[in-house]
Amino acid sequence: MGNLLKNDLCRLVKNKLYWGVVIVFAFMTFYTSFQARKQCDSVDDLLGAMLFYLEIAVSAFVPLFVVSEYKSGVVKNKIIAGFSRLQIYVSLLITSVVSALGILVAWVIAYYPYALALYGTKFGYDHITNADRWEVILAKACLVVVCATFAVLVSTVISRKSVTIVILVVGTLFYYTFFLPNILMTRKDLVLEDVSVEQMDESTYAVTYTATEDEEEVDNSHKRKVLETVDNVMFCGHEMLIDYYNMEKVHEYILWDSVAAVVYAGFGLVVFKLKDFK
Amino acid sequence: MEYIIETNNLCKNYMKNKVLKNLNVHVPKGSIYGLVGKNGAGKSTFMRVICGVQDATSGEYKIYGVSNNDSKINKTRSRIGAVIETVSMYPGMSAKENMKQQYRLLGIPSWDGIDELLELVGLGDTGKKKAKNFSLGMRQRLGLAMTLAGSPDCIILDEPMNGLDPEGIIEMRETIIKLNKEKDITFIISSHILDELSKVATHYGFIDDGHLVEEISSDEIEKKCRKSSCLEVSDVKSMTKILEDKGHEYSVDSETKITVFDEFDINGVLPEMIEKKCKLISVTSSNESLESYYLNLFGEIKKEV
Repeated sequence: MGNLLKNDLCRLVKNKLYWGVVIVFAFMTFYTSFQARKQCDSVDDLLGAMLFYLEIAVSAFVPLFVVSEYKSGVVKNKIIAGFSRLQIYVSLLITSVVSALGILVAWVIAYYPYALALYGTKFGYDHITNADRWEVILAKACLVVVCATFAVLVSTVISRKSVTIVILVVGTLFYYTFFLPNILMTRKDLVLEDVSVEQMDESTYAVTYTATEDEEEVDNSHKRKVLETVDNVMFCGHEMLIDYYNMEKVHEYILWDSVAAVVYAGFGLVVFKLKDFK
Repeated sequence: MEYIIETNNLCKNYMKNKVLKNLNVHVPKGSIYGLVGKNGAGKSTFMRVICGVQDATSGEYKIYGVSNNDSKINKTRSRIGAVIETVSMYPGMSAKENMKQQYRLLGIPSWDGIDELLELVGLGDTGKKKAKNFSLGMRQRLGLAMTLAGSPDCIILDEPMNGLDPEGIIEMRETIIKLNKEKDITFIISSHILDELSKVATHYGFIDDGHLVEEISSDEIEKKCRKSSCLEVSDVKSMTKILEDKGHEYSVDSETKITVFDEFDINGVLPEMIEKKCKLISVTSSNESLESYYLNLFGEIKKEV
């Protein structure tokens, strides 16, 4: 298994296209952060950006990596070399996940110095600790893992680079242009009641209020439930863009992502075991 | 005889299509086993099943005595190298990089043997040229070099002469014979170029419609194929004495039939036959090649059907 993993990881490291994707992605991080600087006023604000590009990058690269393995017939060499299909699939999956996490690392490296340079240590939300921020990044890592696992599954089923990429990229676009706005629209707004403002000193005010969900939006609650369920089962974690400061949600997303990754990997393994390699 | 690979009623179905039907193949250790059969006879499927690329539907096969139902089969299979149907390689990598990948896969720590292997197959000077730009013949050679990584005891080659120029065919043939003789590597080769196969194979398995029609050694086939005369006589005992006196090589086929090999002129023995009162009933001469043997064999099958 170690040899197999070494073989796959070496192929990844020597893949020029991969480094191209990483560099382009890092550049995109700089660019979008630069574009968003007027709407954001803290490091935390910028943290929510880039998920879309992250998914597009993973959806574009993983099928290229996986399908080329099938197309070249090298899987046959691995079987003949005495490795079981389970070992081969797990190795391919781990390498794909590593490639996706590598893109995430490129984001972290490209994003943080830039954000810190812009806002210094102003993080934005007082109730978020540094540990919470790392959890948000962990949730993003989980999202990337699900994305990679799903891409490996689709690549194994279809085994054609272009078709797989189109399906995954169009699926991501569909999510961001149709699905996500629907979730946003069905989101219950908070109604603030009993608002009181108390002046602490010359420049500091304490604001207290009671927040309840807007009952007028209740008609949408069923629709939202359905959309949330689909969001959880499919690519959960997207809503982190809105709720990333809600740590309960973040924990929920990590859990859902872990389950989804295991399910996709399981399906992928079944397909891989039945697959006829030419 | 020690067999490296043997199958016992091996069957492989694709949905309702039965490709291998109770196939019983025996590959002796140290042999060059030629698989002969028409397109769709089941040669490649047999190779794919043995290599583990596909599972058998029923029946059993053994590699070095280890059954496919044994958990050790994957480890045992690592002693085999194979090129089935298409040569499996990374098209974006050079010959040397592909070899390194194969070495990594097999857990060979040093790259020492790579240049030697590439030289052996005539790809020593390809440099950084990517495998996707290789000709079919070059790919075949790289495939052979990759199978040789890890010093396998047995190599399976599916149509290794495909795409090779005449010079390449000769080189491939010589490499196979050299590896067989010097390193005692057993080969299983399928080829449609029967003339070429006859120059390397020591054993043959004729496959038709998923089952083994005949398994025969090259010595036996040579006996059957080489120029020979079949004599039908009244007294075999007297006839054998005459042939021995004249120094002819022969074999007694039945109570009335004798096969005499090499150049044989019946007129040269007629006086002795008359003297010993041995009547000549009939004489038939034959001069078959592997190709004509194959055609005769499969012609007979067709007639039977």
